[in-house]
Amino acid sequence: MGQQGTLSLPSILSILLTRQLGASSLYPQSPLQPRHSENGKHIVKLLLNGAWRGVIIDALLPHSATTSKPLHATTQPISSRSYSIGPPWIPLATKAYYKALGGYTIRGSDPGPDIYAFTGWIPERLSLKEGFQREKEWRRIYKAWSEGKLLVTLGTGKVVQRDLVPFHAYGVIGLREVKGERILEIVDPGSTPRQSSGVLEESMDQLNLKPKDGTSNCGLLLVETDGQAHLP
Amino acid sequence: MSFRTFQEGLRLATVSYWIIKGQSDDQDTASKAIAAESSLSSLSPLVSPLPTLQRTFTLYISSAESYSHLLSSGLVPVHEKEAIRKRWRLVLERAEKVKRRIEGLGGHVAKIDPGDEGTENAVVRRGGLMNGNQLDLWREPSPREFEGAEYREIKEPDMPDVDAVWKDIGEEEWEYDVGKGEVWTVRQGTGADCSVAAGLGVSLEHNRLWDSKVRYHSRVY
Repeated sequence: MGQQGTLSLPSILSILLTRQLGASSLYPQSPLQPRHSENGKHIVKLLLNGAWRGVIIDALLPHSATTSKPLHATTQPISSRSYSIGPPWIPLATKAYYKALGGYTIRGSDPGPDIYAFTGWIPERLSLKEGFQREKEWRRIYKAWSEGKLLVTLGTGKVVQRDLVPFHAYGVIGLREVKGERILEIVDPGSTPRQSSGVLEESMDQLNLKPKDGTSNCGLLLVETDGQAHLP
Repeated sequence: MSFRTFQEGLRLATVSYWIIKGQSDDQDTASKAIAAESSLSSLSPLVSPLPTLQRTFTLYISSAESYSHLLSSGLVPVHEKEAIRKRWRLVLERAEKVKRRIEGLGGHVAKIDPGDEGTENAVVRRGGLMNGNQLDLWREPSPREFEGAEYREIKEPDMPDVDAVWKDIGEEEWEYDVGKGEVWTVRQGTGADCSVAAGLGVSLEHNRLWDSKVRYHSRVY
């Protein structure tokens, strides 16, 4: 990551709060999952200003008037090249969040507080530039990750390595130790399906690794924790 | 605050007065006043003086009320009245001084202490007003809320400078099921923020990797 790179680590608060992420976020539900609303009204449960609150939205989502492509967040299998919307609960939940924060025009935020608003998981921010204890933090992060108690995201600063985007957030969907190398599997939410194609294979070749199940031909970036990014 | 004799009333007022000073009865009034002042100034810089000042103000007012009641009771001997009035004025002046200091620090007197249930409730209630939206505290919605006349927002959330149209979600879109077999990712789109997409993306993958109740979140019907 860049010189001002950070880690956001929303660590687990409790299994009860964990359930909020799935079972209680978007209404109506049937019985534990979000479902279509007959009148187009949805209520999203978010932890805002110290309390769980309900944010009411309608079922409309923004699309480009010229291309008809969605302007909202979309969800696809990582190997997909389509621009399908994916499960609607994600753009609807984010719409409610943007409504509370003042609109889609917010000037960037931080994944830690964002995840906190949706799940209640307490965020912890680590700076990779100042006071980062590599061995200690890796052990702590890897242990928590291995136990499913951790979500990890990365944020870049003003100065970044080649091909990384300044002031951008990335998601970490895998942590591995392979032959002494510590590998982070990173997803760029700003990538398009076309851009991401083939990135993993190239990175895997450089690291002499085999891809994990279900991650071939996808938009993953692999980064060694010692700082060398393997990018297209 | 009841008393039947002058001595009882005087003791009640004076006890309040001495509590304010925080000193034992064998010290004279001037020494107690100086000691009280000193106890505030000797607080750690890391400790807010407001709680101590608030408590001090309340005790001064309580003491002043005691002297006032004593004077109006008709129990005070004539030759003692001036001395009692003097003490009364003194505690009121000190209460006024403490009040100014509290207000100088941004606090208010005669309000409930921070941390009291009433204050917390008021703060939480005020926190529900965000960017012009009144967001009520969470309650489980009734299924009836999602029936009946079509619901539309008066104003959709602001978008960046792009030409946007707002479209409904087809009912068939709700048939998506994020299975466990493949990694899914959230892409931010032109109008969305990278951090929110990154956060929800890692949540999805966590759901897939960990067979917990969290994963239900990624199934949409």
